Amino acid sequence: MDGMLVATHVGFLTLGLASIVRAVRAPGRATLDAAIFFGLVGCLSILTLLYGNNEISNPILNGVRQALRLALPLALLRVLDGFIPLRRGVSILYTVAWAACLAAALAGPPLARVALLLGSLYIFIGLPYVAFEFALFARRATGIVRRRMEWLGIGTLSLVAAAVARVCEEYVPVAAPVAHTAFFIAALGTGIGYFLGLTPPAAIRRLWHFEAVTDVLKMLAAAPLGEAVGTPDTRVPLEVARSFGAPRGALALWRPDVQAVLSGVQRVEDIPSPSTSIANRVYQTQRSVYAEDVTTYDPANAEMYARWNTRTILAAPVTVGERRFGTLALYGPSPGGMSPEDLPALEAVAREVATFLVRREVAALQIEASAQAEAALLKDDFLAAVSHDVRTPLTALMVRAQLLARRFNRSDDTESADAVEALVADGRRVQRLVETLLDVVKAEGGRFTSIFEPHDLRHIVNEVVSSLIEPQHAITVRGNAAAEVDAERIAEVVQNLLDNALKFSKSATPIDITIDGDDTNSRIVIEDRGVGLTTEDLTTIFNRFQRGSAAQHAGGAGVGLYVSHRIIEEHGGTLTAEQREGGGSRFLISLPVEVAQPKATPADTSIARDNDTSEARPMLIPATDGAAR
Amino acid sequence: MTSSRPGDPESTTAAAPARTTTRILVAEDEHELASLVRALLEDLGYEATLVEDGQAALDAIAQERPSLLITDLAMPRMSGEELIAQLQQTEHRDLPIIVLSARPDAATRIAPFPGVRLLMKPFDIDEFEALVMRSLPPAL
Repeated sequence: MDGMLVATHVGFLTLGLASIVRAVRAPGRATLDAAIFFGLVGCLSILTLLYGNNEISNPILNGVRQALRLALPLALLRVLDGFIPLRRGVSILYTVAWAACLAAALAGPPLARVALLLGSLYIFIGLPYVAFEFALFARRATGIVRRRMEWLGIGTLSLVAAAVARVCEEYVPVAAPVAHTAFFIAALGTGIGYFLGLTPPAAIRRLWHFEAVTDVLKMLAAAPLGEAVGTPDTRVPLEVARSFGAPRGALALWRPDVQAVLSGVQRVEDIPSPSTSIANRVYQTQRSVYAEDVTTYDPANAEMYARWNTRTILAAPVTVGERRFGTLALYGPSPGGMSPEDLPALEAVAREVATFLVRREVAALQIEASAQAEAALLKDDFLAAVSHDVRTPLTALMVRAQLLARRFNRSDDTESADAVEALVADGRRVQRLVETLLDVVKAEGGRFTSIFEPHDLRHIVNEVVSSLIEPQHAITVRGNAAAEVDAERIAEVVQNLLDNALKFSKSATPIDITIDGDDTNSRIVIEDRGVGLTTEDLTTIFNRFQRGSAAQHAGGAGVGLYVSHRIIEEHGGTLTAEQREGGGSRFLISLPVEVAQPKATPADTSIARDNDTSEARPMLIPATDGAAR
Repeated sequence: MTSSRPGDPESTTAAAPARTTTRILVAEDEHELASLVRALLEDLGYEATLVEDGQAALDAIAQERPSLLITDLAMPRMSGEELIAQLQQTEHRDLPIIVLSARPDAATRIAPFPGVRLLMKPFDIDEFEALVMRSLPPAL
């Protein structure tokens, strides 16, 4: 026996063992088919190595060899069936032909010529048929499967070549030496081709997966982000299926409304058992799945899979970090080249799809945020127009009222003078109401335009206190501290708190304002000896203004406290309320001495706010019970 | 109201000393408010000319050389800001200006013009009078 022969058969034997090992490690139709085929080849090689190419004297062993040889086309048909389901007739015909050939061969000399004829027909029709079908399938195949098809095609062509060479060696003596060499080359080509096509080694598989993943990444990078998240998206899974060479693909996303994972075209009513569906199980367990026969994996939904002509599914969770979107699935009527060994690559792709979906969500948020910013601008314009239109007649009214007041103040008609004074006071109340409404809307959008400059807080407080008209309380201001503040806004806060203190404490009770501070914070404490605060007040006092509730009174002190709270927040400080020891209430403003940085921009604020309240933002409707406490 | 009409003896005596040569231009498109402002100014003894838009104000300033301009911001044809900006380009750049506005963003709108005084509508007439007197150059 020459070295070439030994090398070839040792090679076949190795391929056989390798594919059996692979079939054990990654059980599946594809690996099993490969193991059967290469196992047959390996067994034949053992016999050849032991007994050479000559007739084996032992009739049983000889029969086994014949059976194995003749079974090769049958094994190839089985491989083909894994990719393209064959018609039942073809399988039966070939099984019968195999039996007939085997019987003829084993019958011995009387039927030898018949056996040879039958065997030749069987092999020379069977092998080209397999090669032809593979070629057809390869034309349609894409991605990884196409690569495998190419190698299977090479393997099958080599096998035909090997058979031709064998016949030439036997019957055309002139060409025998050339045919002999050609046979070994073709046999080796067959082994390599089939091995790469049926069970590509990890390194080569990784290379093909890399190509597939790169294709998907390219597609995802170029995919438009404009569509709303959750819309039926068929392009992504189609492209993934193409890259992996799977017949079809689906991207099923978790739908909280129906508590199920659904693809764009699916309705939950169409799934008999949503909880056991593969897409859902993958989503729930976060583990990828290769289900060669879905009817055994998920029998409850067998009827649905039959309706979709689906038998084999390869599925991976579409998850990135903590964010779970759903399941990416490749499926088809047969394994069709799909293999459990594709799972790691599919998982990687599914993660990338999840990243893509995150990007799309972010893009959608950005669009929403800019729409909100635009709406906020519109609202600003609208408010400016409304306040202008209210203020203009109010201005004329106030001028007239003040002129009247002057006139009556100089007359003896004190009754009319008082009435006109009251008219002026009412006008001022309307005016303040308009200002407060504007403030509230500004606070709502987080858009106080603050100019932070170093100020003496004592100075600001004193200004407010001295502007009070005939206060009925003894107001004491003690201490001083400086802070970077918007003086006008802080004055507004002090005014609000002081108004509150005056409103809720009996006249002549003292009100103390204490200002102090350290290196980092400055404080203004306003204490009264009024009715004080209830425990419930303490938790809700700054939240009186609740969006969406029906408005009772727009200008109550509750709005003032809300606005004050927002102003102090914008300064990066805190406004807190507590019971004063010995009765009354205590409001504490704490301000950072230095403003760290400008507070959030309007867009930032609206995003942050929408995260904690997902409902749509209604227009401003303040709701208070008319009193702050 | 009738008491503050020009020529009313009561109001003229009560108001500041008359400076009949002092002319004030009022640019305001709201007729009612414009005439009220004129009444207030005349009570103080000033002469007031009313115009309804910025363009008319520019023409009137060139012709009448007022001592003070009181202007609204939102006006047809030429807004208050435009009017002020245009004035900066002319020999009248030193004309004292008081802006009367109902716009919430009035302060930011006139921020580029540092000398301009702002009074938000609705205003206190005492405050208005004080501002007018403060804005006028000392009487010759």
